[in-house]
Amino acid sequence: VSREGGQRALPGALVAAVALFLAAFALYKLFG
Amino acid sequence: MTGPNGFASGSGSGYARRFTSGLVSWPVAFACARERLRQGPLWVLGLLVAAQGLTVKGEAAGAQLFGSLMGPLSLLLFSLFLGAGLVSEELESGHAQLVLLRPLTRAEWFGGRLAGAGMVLLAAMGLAWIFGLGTALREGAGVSSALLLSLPLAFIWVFAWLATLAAVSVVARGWSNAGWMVIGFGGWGALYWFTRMGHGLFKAASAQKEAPVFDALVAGLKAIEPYVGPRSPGDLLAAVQMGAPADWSPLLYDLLWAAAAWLVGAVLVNRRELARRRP
Repeated sequence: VSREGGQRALPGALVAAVALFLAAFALYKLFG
Repeated sequence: MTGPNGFASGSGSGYARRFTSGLVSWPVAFACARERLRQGPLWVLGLLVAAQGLTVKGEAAGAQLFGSLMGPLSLLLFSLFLGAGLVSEELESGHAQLVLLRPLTRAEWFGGRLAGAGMVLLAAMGLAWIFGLGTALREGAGVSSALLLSLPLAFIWVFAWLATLAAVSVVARGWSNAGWMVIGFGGWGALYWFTRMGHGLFKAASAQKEAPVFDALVAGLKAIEPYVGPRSPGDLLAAVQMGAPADWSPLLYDLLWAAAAWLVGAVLVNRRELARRRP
């Protein structure tokens, strides 16, 4: 654990959500 | 490798582990919601949001509820107060350091603060929606699909703003995140409208009809404009209300914006120094 407290790992779900919504938005814009 | 209490364990993994499954710390979220509910001015704005449900016309409730002028305005004002100092207050008081002695990630703590504010937002909007539903039923208009969609779509839109406020609050002192948001997005809005107005006046007044640089500038601003900030679902809901083909891209864009702002906030809070600084 970090000296200052709190692990600094990122939630994988959040990274996946950003990628998913980015892909969905781009696909909708291109083909929707 | 993760130990029984969520700490990374085992040789080599340490705290350098990059990803976790933890998105929100719910105890932090409920504490945050309770704390926000103790603010008087927020209640006034929350009731203003809820009162929108009483002003709608039954058959157009879905499009009007969060889509007419006062709806979005009161929602944005409410989220501005809700998100002001959302993270910075905890960092500056030293409370964040204390809470993070517990086995939770910084991202979970940040998610907790955001989710707590989100719950308060959902409560106010839910109340407005119930009032709107009551108005629609009382006027015999029935429940339209636009009315059903208005709550989730509008919530995602305002939540995207709230996530942005939270992310800015990681690096801005006190309530200044709200100020920076107003300056940033208000400044953009002013730039956009004044440039367009100036362009129109120039076209009307000037004898020479060719102004390639000015035209290109306005065209560029117009192209960027829909992507500056989360997009209001007003047009989408109006289209659904009328049974017209709807453009769903605002919904996808708001989902993207909300998730991206949340992620940026989590990254920033990971990079920030938690120790109180001398004023």
